[in-house]
This record gives sequence, C-alpha cells and structure tokens, in this order.
Amino acid sequence: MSADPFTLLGIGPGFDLDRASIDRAYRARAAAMHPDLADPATAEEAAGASAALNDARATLADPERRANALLAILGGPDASADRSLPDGFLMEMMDVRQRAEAECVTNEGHARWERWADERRESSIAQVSALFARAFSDGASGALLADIRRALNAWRYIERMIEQLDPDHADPM
Amino acid sequence: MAYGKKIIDHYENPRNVGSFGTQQEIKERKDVGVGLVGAPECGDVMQLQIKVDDQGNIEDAKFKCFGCGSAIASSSLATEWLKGKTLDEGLGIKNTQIVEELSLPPVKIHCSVLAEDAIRAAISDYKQKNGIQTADEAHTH
Repeated sequence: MSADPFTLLGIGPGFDLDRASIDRAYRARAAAMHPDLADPATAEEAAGASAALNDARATLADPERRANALLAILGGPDASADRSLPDGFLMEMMDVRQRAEAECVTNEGHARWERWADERRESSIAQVSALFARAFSDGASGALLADIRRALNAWRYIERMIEQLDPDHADPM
Repeated sequence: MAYGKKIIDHYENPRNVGSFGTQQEIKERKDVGVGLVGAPECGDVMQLQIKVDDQGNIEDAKFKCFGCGSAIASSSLATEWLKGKTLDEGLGIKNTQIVEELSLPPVKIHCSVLAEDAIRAAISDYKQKNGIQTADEAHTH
C-alpha cells in the first residue's frame, strides 16, 4: 500500500491546510527527489515517485479529497462501506436538482444555483473542519468518524451538482 | 473507451423521463411507488417511480436522474423493462442484466446497481403504501 499524501509530502495530518504550505512542502520534496531521467536504471522508479508526489499534492489541494484522505488515516469508513446521509438529504437534493434544472435555463437562474451550491460547499467545509478538530482534540471515536463520513457523503452530492452546473462540464458516459 | 449503441441511444434519447406528479403528490398517491437512491461515491441521484394498476401490474414507470450517462441509461432501461411486469417480476430485474444489455464497463457497474436499488425501493414503497408485506421490509426505508 502506498503512503498517504500527508506522509508523502511531510505535512502533519490535519484538515485546515492552506495552499501555500502544501505547495511549499511539495517543492521541497520534489527538489529532493527530482527524477534522474538520464540514468535508465533508476528513471522508472524516479518517475513513479514523482507521479506519487504530484498525486499527493493534488489530493491535499482539493478540500474534499483531503478530507477523505484524512478520514482514511483516522481509520474511518469510505463511502462504499458507509453510505449514510443526513435525514432527508437525498429528498432535498432531488428537489433542489429539479428546481435548478428548471431555473437554470436563464443566466440569472444559473448564477443563483451556482451561488447556492457554493454556499453549501463552504458550509460543508466548515462542518467537516469542526468535526476533524474534535477528532484531533477529543479522540477519533467510531461515532465521530461516522459523523464525518456522513458529512462527506452529503458533500459529494454538492460537488457533483457544482460539476454539472459548469457549462463546460461534459459528463462522461 | 468505446461505448455500445444501446447505451448511447438510452443516454441521448432517455425513455420515460418525468414524474407522476409533484413530490407531494407522488408521496401521497397509493398507486405510485417511489424509489429515491443515491451513490455517495459519485454524488449521482436517481428517482424511479412505478404506477401500478388494480391487478397489481406495473402499467407505467418514470425516472429522473442527475448523474452520468451510464446512470441515465441504466434507469431509462429499467423503466422500459418494468412496464407490464408484476411487482415480483420487477424485483427479478438484476443489475447484471442491465450491465449485459448496455455493455457497461466495470467502472460503471455501480450505475446499474443504483438502478436496481431504485427499482427495489420503488416497489417497496408501493407495497408499504398498500399494506403489502415485503421480505426485506425490516431494512428498507
């Protein structure tokens, strides 16, 4: 199993990371292990390590992916193992998506739903940040990890909506 | 990746998109069963509805899906297959049949699972509304 992105970049595990510190850690590590492509004996290994470092940076730079990586480190379940959602959430999403679909035909409606989704993303980040803070201060109980999983599951639906509201977004089959 | 004709057809011309009423209406209608499911791995939402006649046959089915092409095609196909079936026959529809019919690639199998879950949820909702016992009532909601 490959190392987690925090370990790879030498950053202490935590949710509240700013982009600058991630980039700083990345540059330091990348400089230290720059692939020596001139040497065929080590080129493949070096390229693999470099790709892993890039992946780690991409994971930590994305708040949702960072949260999922952190939850895995704390021993929490992934989305397949625990599919729970807050009460009534799926119903709300179905309702929201239908209303958004009907109203996004105008630029004004589209902008309004983009704002709505962005606000929900921000509140998801705040909620998850508070839950991780508790996990680090009081200990990561199973119940708390399940709460984080539930919050992350709901957050995914918001991100999915943001993806699909993007006019340049082409859904894969 | 090359996708087959059938999946592209269902994606570009989805069958039976819609609803048998507003959310409140379909919640109250006893002849309509509603299955609302989601995939937390990708964030797709799917709602499938069946309309059941007096003889207990599924006379019509509709769906709404906010998801990828494979999820849309899977639910579109599911509504086509449900029409004319009894409730028990509807429960017999398996995700593997959807995978086979649409030639879904392995990474998209979860879309067919979602469609099967939606079928089960819709039939279970109909049975619950009409006081029909279901085998798996204990762990559906």
